[in-house]
Amino acid sequence: MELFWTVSTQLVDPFVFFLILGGVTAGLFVGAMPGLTAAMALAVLLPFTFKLPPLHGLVALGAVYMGAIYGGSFAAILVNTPGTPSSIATAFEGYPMAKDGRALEAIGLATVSSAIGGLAGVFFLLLLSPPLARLSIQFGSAEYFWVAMLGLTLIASLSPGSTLKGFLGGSIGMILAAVGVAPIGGENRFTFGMPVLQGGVEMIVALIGFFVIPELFNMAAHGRAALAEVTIESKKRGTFLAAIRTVFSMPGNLIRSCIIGEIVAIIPGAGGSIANLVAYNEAKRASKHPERFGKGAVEGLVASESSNNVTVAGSMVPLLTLGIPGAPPDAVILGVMLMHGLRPGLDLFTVSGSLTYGFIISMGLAALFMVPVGLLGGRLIYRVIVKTPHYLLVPSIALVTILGTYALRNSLSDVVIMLLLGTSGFLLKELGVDSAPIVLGLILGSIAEMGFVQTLLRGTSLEHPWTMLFQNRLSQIIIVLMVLSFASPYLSSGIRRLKKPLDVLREEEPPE
Amino acid sequence: MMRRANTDLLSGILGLAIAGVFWWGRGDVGRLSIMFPHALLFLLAGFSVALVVKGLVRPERRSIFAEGDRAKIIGCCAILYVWVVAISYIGFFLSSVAGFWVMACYLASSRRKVTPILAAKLFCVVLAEVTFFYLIFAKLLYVPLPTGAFFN
Amino acid sequence: MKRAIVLALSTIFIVSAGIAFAGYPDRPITYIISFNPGGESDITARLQEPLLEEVLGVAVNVNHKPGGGGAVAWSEFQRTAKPDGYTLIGTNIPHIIGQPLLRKDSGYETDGFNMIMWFHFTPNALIVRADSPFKTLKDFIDYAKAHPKVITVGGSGTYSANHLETLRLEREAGIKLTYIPHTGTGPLAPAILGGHLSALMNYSMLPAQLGDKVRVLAVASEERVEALPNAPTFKEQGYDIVGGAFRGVAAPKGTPKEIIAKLADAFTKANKKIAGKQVPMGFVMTYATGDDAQALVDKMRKSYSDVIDDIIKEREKK
Repeated sequence: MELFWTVSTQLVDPFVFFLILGGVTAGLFVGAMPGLTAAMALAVLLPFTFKLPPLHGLVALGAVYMGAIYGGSFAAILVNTPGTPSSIATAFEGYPMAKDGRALEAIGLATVSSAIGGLAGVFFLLLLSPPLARLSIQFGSAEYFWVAMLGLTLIASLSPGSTLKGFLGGSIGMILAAVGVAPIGGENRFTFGMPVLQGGVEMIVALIGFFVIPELFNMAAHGRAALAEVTIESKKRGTFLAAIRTVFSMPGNLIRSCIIGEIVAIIPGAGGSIANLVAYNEAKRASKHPERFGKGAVEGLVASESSNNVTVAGSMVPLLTLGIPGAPPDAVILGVMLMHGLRPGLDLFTVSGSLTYGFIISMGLAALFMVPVGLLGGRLIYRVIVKTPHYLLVPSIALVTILGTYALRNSLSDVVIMLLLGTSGFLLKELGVDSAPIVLGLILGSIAEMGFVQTLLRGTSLEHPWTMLFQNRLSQIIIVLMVLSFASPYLSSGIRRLKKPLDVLREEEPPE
Repeated sequence: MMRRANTDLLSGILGLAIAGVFWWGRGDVGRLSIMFPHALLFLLAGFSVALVVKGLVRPERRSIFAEGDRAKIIGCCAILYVWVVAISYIGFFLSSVAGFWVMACYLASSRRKVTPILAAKLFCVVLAEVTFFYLIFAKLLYVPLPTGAFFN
Repeated sequence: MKRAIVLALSTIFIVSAGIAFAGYPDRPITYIISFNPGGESDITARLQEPLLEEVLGVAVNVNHKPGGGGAVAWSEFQRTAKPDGYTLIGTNIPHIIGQPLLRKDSGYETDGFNMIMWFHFTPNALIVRADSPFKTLKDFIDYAKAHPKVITVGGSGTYSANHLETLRLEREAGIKLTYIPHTGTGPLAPAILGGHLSALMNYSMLPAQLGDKVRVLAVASEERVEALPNAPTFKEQGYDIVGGAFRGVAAPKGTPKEIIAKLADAFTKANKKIAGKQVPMGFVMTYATGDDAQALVDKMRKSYSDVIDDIIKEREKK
């Protein structure tokens, strides 16, 4: 109780509020610009936070992190470009909504879902840290491999046309991920004699290429702006209260997405980029109208945006308890803590409890602050995009894309790679190979490779090293989940096919 | 007009081509570095062959590149490539002003006549916008944008 | 006539060069980090940034160009950076020694830098979980002798400081281990705490951070590390193993001596101020500048040469 008071008095301070507000706003901008990442923003802020007391520094970094993950949804909704990999699934539903003149509605839903996700993450962190931390270290190399395989089963539901083409895209993505220095083995592959390719195909570079460039070409081809004006009916549904009502009308989806977000968050190295896709997929499977997905289904948007913001505070669980940074921005936060002499572990919650709890609660405040900042900012960005004629909008997006890609690793080669991938992505899309499975393959490829080769190495002394892949209980559980996830679309369609003749019979019964 | 194409066959052949290029470029490296990529290449080749077979047996035909103005796509694509390549020669700022302006005029020409006055107006907007983003990235975020022959 | 022109031109050149570094620095300096934000190299640079600005009087901008374990930035730096003292890059031993020897197309040379300073050293440490049956280095080596390749040792990267040190331990002690590379230090903590590996060969910061959850069997430094007073060195236990990662900063080849000296002075001042924060974290501060900096590269190259030769021989056999 005493702790509660010290924490609260620390936070009720105009300067702290200013830091959170400023951090969320800055994060929003960074997230909305494709190419600028949360980790980069945090690194730029580092020298500044060293001048502040530890709590203030951490509060500022936490707010930027929270804002950046949410900000990714704007670009996803308004120009079909996930600003960060955490909002890939947001684009699947948000952009079709915006095209139908429901942009403000989509932004409202994304905002409310993100805030709820952020709060849920803080809630998990406050109440369930110790058991979650224990679960987190159960994931070894074999589990990573199977998690990646589980992720690949999403391809089936992410490819609207032919599943076979989806898997073709997925394997192209995984091979692109293999370009450069081998994560294990340390030698160069697929570099074709060019030293710059040692750095491989950065996931965000590919993400920008595959999503923005085809959209850019489409906009140019149709000679129109991306969005329709918001319809009057949708304007009403775009209000804050209406968004809250819609989001809370699907409690099952919300709870499921938050739990998925939390579990993915505590697996070091997975993070928001996977959480949003898994939550989206599950929302689609649970939905009564899966056929609406991809055409502006509200459930999908809510699932994606709530799950990705859970990961912000969620990934703090292994970070604060064990010192394990789950995502690049967490590494920066860990660096700041160590620099201030704060060592992750139990001490953090007892000896420096007021600081740690202050930091955690400030992340919750940041989630709340996102609502006003996001609704105002979202409206502003929307208006700019709708009012800009297409002949200015298309090159503007090109400019921002080039800048963002360059800034990611300060590399012009990355810009060229982005363009090449984007052009190929456009051609592949025309052939029916969608971008989403390719990007999924890119995200999961290196995780799968590392898990696979590490596990085989761990089994060196066994007669059959590959049996190491199946030894742990957790691996077996994930394998079962994977088989279920892969088989479920076929199972349900099989059941439907069995049911159908009955339905037909019923319909043919003469009315009495 | 483009004929309706057998997209299964086309994407299968494309997949095989990609697998071939990467097989050729895999380099002379040790077992650990290459075992997983090898498996991936076989996987890719497998899916490609399956698509080719499907393309021969039960093809999915649909018209490709049918929507919208194809010339605009090729034009924009060309401007984009020239824009990016030019960055390494004349620096980010000049190249972007030029690339942006040319693309804006090119796209505007489909709806209306681009008069010198409109072109001049567009140029002002372009200059302001590029300067704005240049300042944010170079001066606020300290991104070392390529300078090229002009501008230090 | 010709001679006069040459003379005039060379005078102009010398004078202008003189002017160039008399006023040095008069514009912002770019400081490239070849790793991701949040890593040790990045955080050190961020700590140095304000201190360097204070000494030099101009802005110092830290930039990231990650990829290929540092090689992407190093190869581009050696190809394009101007030797005017306004572009610097963070360098790491043994990365810049191992990569050019062991990798095709690394795109740079170990001796292609003008070293300014090596500012700290993070020795390798052999780490086990607190409840591990290996209480001492002797337990560990005895078990490995009886059970070749059964002990799994995790570390950061392939042909990295951790990897080369594990190979050296195998050589010195006559044992066989199974080294398992990870990407960076981050994934190592869960791997050892979750019991997925028998031991880690990682830097001295990790045990300083994980505290009593782990036990250090040996540290690869000349003397005990200040932050780990209870951890014995390999030398104390009869193995001549000293190694780890050095972090430093370099300018392009051909940068004027005066500029290098000025930068070395600024980095030395910054390093003294940072020491108070980094020493408790497990770092060992170093102050190798000028010829000493180059000498350190040569010394480490010699000490790793046996292990690297072994790797190359092994590869050729296959």
